[in-house]
Amino acid sequence: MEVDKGKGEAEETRKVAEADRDTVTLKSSDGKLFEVSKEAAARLSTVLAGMIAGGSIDDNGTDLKQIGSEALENVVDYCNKHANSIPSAALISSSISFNTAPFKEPEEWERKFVDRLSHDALFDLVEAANFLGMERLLDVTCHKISEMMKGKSPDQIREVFNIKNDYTKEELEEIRQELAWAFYDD
Amino acid sequence: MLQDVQGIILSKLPLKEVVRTSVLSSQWRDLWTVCPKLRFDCTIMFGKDFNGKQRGQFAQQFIDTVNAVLQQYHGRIVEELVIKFDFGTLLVDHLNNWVRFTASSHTKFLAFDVMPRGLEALSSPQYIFPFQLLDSRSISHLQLRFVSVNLPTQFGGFPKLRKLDLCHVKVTAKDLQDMLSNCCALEWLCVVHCKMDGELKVHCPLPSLLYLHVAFCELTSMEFHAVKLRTFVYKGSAVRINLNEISELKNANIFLHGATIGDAIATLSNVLTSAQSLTYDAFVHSPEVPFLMENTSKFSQLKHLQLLLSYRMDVDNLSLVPFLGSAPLIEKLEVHFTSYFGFFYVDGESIRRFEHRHEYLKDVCITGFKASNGQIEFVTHIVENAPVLDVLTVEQSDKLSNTDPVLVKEKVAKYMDATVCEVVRRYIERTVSPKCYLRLLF
Repeated sequence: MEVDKGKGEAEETRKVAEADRDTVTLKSSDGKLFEVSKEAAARLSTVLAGMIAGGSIDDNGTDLKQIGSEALENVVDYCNKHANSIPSAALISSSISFNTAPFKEPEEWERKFVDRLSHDALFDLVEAANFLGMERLLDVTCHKISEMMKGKSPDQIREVFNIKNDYTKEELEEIRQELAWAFYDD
Repeated sequence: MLQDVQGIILSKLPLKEVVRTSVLSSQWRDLWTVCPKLRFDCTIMFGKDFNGKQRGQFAQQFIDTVNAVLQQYHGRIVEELVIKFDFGTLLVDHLNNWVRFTASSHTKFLAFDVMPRGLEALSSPQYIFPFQLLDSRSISHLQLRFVSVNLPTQFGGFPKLRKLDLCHVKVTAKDLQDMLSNCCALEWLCVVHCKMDGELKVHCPLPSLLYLHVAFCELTSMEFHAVKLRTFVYKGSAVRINLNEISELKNANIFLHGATIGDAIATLSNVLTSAQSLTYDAFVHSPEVPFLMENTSKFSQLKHLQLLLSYRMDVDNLSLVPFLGSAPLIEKLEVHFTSYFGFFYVDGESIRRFEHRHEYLKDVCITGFKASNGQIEFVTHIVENAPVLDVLTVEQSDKLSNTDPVLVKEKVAKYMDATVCEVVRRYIERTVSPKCYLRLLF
């Protein structure tokens, strides 16, 4: 959808032409290219929206050096799925409880989207979402991780997240004493 | 993992689990203190043991915990503060300090649930919520339970408030009107069990309001100006309700006590002219005042109607048929019957016929069908007057009393009652159009 504009406005033309393209091309740290709907990218990512508005999008692939190809593929996949999904009609009209109001529960497809990811892929995606300022994706992925922690013992959580316990027995006892109420039913 | 990401993850866990992460490793030691959502709920913190003898001890622990955590957050932004605890054992000074804390932390979501326990629960709420300490300009969601409201004289409203949830709050209609007087951003309003004993007239427009729920407030009349309203829930007596200039109402859920269906049409007609879906729940007094059918359409947009009707004795068609008649576009009808004394078939009584066509009615579902004379009249009326009926579901079991925890559950029938079978054969199967799919359930 190139738009023909008068000569002498090269810069202007370039921007308009770019603004008229439906997609943007993103380049992962390992050099792979991905196309994503410009509308969805601008709507879902504050960083990409800023780049699109500021004209710093490269037609040959905008470099995202911090994001690996697997994570970027998931980001792009999420954007495209989001662009196609019908927003939930329930939204505000249903009597959502007060406490969940600030965060809208993941929709069915979002749940499936994060459920199929391996632990490593999920963590990479969280960091990509954080880097790109994708509030909703960050919320959905963090929600998934919090579900993986819910109701688990410290040992189980350490195992899932590969955390090394570097406390001495005495230190552990001290924390438990200090925050006794939180460990009440242990 | 980055610390701000960890903060988001932790904010989705109950506070108790958040605090427990401190034992994972030294890196996690103080992470729980960066969680921007603080929820102090005694039932989560102390679990079931809370009502035991150690309550006094728990109260002190609760206060100490909240104070210790808030101390950590001093001077930082806290998105959300939830306090849920029984008031009887808390000190007013602490509660006031916590409200003060939200003002200095630019808190957007604040919930105070200070439910009294035991005999204290019977008296009116003792804690007067200190609106003068609240930063009313930054608050976006406010939930109050079991508090008293006494607005300061110079109250400027809540310019950013999007959601207001009041339950068991002692508030006068005048104070509620003042609270809502400058709430241009308000989208969601719920006022339940706040006895106002009078009229509630909110003259100030609420241009963003999408959801309005008013229940059991003992009002004598109600008025709102909410042009964008999409969902309206009302429970209480049949009083004059005036929702000016609403045009986008989609769903309505109405429970009226002490009202005849005739009263209901009068009460609801000017409110619900644009509603497409209505759930109407009522105890139907018998005998109903015969309500003459008039050819005026009241619910002109209504397509989906759900009726939850409790009768003392039998169904009264003289009120049911005109109620349907007031919704000329109705496509889907669900009627759930229940009766305190049971529905019975009396042999030998003639079945009355009413002629009133329902041109668009496609899907009808009737539960609690025991083949009483009134029910037979009603279902006969439907099959004879709905020319495009696609699906007719007739179910014997009583869905209403089965979902009511107070009433004794009736035994689930294993077969269809012989009378019901006979009636279905005589009045439904022979008359119903061959194009209609008839579903019989027991």
